Amino acid sequence: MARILGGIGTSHAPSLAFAQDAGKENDPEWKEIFDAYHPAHAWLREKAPDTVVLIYNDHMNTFSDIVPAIAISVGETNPVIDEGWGKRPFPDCPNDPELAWHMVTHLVAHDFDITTCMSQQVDHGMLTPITLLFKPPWPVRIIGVSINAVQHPLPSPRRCWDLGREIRRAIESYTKDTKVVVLGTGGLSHQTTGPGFGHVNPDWDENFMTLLETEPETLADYTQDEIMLLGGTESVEVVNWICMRGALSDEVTCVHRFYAAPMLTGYGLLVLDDKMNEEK
Amino acid sequence: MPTETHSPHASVARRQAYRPLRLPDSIIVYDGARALRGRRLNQFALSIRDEEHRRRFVADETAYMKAEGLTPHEIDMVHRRDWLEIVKYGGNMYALIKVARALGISQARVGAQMRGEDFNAFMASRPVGSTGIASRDDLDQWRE
Repeated sequence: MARILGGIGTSHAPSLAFAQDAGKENDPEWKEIFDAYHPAHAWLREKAPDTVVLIYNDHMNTFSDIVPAIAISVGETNPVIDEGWGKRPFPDCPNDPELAWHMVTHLVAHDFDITTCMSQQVDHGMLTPITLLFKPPWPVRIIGVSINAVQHPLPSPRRCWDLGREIRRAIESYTKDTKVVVLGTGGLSHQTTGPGFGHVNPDWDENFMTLLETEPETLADYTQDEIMLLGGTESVEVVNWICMRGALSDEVTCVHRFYAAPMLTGYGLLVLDDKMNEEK
Repeated sequence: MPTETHSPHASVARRQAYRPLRLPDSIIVYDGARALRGRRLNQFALSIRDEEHRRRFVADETAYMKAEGLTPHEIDMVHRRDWLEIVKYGGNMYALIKVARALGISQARVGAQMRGEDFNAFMASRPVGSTGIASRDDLDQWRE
């Protein structure tokens, strides 16, 4: 039987990828941020997941003319692409198509109309977290769950929470022994569009991470407009974290938490152990 | 199993307990009208993900944008690097940032310009400190 061992929330900002690719992990302005990922590495080593369900949003790289509300990668691999500033030197990410199709079948049977994607391209929404958390050759298979956080109208936080709940039931009804970790990526506060460019809100980001751990369903009642005012227009992608939390049980332990907002984005990191599925 | 707390009606009631918001001008929503009007600009911006296309665009911006079917007004906005006008029109920053980077313009410079702020003044505003706005209960100034 498949089990969810826990979840990780992490930013997916390209700035982190640029710093990593330029070998700046130990530079003074970046060291604290990259060091903050070490406890997450240790936790992942201990849990040794087979498959990661990575909840993220595409940034017009796979979906622009056609924009699905929710899409799941169901092909053999998720190809790494050039987003317009050179392809990062990483191999394509192997998918877990058998579990992905099981999830899609379960979700559709429970009224979530999922777009299936044979070639869901890996943009920074997926690749930044993958390269922050793992080293190639990739030790896990990766199922990408893309939620539209770009072209309004967007799925509500409530819908994303419910999706996470149903993803949990889908995984728990998969008969093959599979250890699963759920990732929610994006945010936290940031705004890249318009006169409010550079909006960052550490107070909200810290509160968001606390609520996500302890009272997550409170966040499902927020509206996207409220999230935009609190965290900036592009921070609507925090629904990916809400969805991730929905896939965990009520009983979680915070293993690690980090936050910094040095420039344009609130970098958040939250590692949650699912107590329902602790190794006996 | 997770406890079953799902109740759409209760959720709607909790949302409606708050007065509606009026979004300020600092927030530009990329909605259907903008996606429709900005389609040519965004598809052009996305096309330069291809390295050869980037090279051709940078070598001759006008020729490339004409070939992509942009209108004279759209080409003019790109020439003037008027990012604020472009996003109001319907350009999406996720697509446009590819154009800016191809032209050697950083995201922070694009942003400072949209704010109407001097670049160095903007950089001096980082890191941002406490706002005192930590939850939906703190949004009264934007409610009707």
